[in-house]
Amino acid sequence: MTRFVARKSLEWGLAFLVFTFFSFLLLRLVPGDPVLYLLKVDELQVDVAEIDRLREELGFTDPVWVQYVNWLSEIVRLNLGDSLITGQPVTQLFKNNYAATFELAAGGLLVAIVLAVPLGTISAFRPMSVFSKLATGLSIVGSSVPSFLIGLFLMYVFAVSLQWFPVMGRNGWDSLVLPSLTLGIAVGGVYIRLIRSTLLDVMAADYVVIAKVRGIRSKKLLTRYIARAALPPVISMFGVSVASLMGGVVVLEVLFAYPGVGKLMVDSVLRRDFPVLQGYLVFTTCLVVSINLVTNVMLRLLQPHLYRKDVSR
Amino acid sequence: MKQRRFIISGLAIFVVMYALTSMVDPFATNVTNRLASPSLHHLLGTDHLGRDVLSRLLLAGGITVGLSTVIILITATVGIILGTISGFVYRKLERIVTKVTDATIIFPDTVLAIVLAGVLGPSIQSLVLAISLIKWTSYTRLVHTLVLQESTKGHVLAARVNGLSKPKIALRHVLPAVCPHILVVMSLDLGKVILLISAFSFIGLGVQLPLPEWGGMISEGRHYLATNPALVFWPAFCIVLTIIGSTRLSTKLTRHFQV
Repeated sequence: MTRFVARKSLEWGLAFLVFTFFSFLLLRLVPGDPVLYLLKVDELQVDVAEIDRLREELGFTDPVWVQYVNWLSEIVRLNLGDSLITGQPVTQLFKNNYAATFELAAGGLLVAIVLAVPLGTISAFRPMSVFSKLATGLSIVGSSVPSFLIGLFLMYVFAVSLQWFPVMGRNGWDSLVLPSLTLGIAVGGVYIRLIRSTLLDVMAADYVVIAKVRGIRSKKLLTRYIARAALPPVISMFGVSVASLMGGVVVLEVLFAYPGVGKLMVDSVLRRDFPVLQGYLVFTTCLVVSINLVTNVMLRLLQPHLYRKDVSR
Repeated sequence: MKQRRFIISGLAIFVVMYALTSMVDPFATNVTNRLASPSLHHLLGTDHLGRDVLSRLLLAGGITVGLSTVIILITATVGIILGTISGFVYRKLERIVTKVTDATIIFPDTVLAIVLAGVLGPSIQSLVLAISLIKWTSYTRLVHTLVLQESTKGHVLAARVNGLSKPKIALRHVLPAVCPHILVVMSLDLGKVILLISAFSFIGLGVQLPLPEWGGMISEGRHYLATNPALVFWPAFCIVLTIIGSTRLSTKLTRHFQV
């Protein structure tokens, strides 16, 4: 087990290095000389000797990999540079915005789970019931209606017409309701279909049929026999969907004018605030890589039989 | 017979649409005639700048569906080539190709699209590049698995015993069996990529004005939701219809090829 964790950490660590190297290179792609750019920001008189001196000072004459290592060691110390527009440290900006985004993502995930687990389970066991039809409808909406349309609809009905919730912004829990609901419906549709098809697969397995024949009560059958076997695909889906969640929140944050990281990024794109964008890329890489590492380890714990070498499969 | 009728009706729709778009200029603004209700000249009315909604909808459809098709074709081609090479033609590359796909597939394409939009400027090109950079992984993985399954079958072994070279076997005996599966996934992805493009145009980082895009049209029209809901309804209708269409197409293909 420890060897497995060590190997996976090494693999994902390598992936992290490669990803950050690309995000480091990406800023080199920006048209124009960064040194000239910096001088222009400070509105200094530019002469050639000055440019060369600054280039030397900032380490632009070093080989690329030396620059990368220096840059990486700054990042490990949580120094992502300063915003070109406000001059604030990027980490400072991120602190507030990521808190807001995590609240929204957690809310959306909660809604998705609350919707999908019961609906997916019921529609697997009782395919003809009303709940099953509701589940089908919801999964069609989730997969074919863009999230911003769901959000626009909810906003129009519950915020503009009924005025139950604020239209936009972030103050108090009630401003979180509509965005979370939108995100939850958009993501939940995928979960419903996955849970249903996984449960149907497991229910058809021999050992479940045998357990039924042995007269095991249906409640125990579900919790002990079916749920455990259905868990691995759901968990690996979860790992993937966290990544798409981080993307999905961006659109909703713009729609609801919610001051999260996605909104900050869209603003930074329009203001061409490169250090903030680079920090975002690095931070997302960290997040995605660590979530996948955790997912890998959890799957290993849940399916030990797939990793045993002494038994022939 | 049924297929021919399908093709003919498709062509007819295309011709009618082309005639309609060439009749009214989708870019011509007319401030005196803004937010007009449907009339003979503007069949679906006009938007907040007095532009014809119908012709903008049709042009937007061409742009979105066209871009989505281009992205799918590029990424599927890359996936087919890499998947076939790593799964059959040159197995020594298998380890490295699967590791790279496994690592890249986890990265959120929207995040990459935002950062690329920041570096290269918000445009269609950076959006296409960003989606393609992530999307190729799912095709590579799919083709890889399918090719692995196919290559253990009898007719492939027979071809090898007969001394055919591996690239030739891949082209003649492996890929034809794999293609139906890829087509099904491609038709499904068409809708997914359209969703992504319209979402990005909605937040202003995708297709740039004055070019119309369904998501962008919704973003412009949402300020008039209370007074003029048609400005949001029609592009929304188009998006949902197209995506349902792509899902239907994939179900039809699944049934047709019996995969």
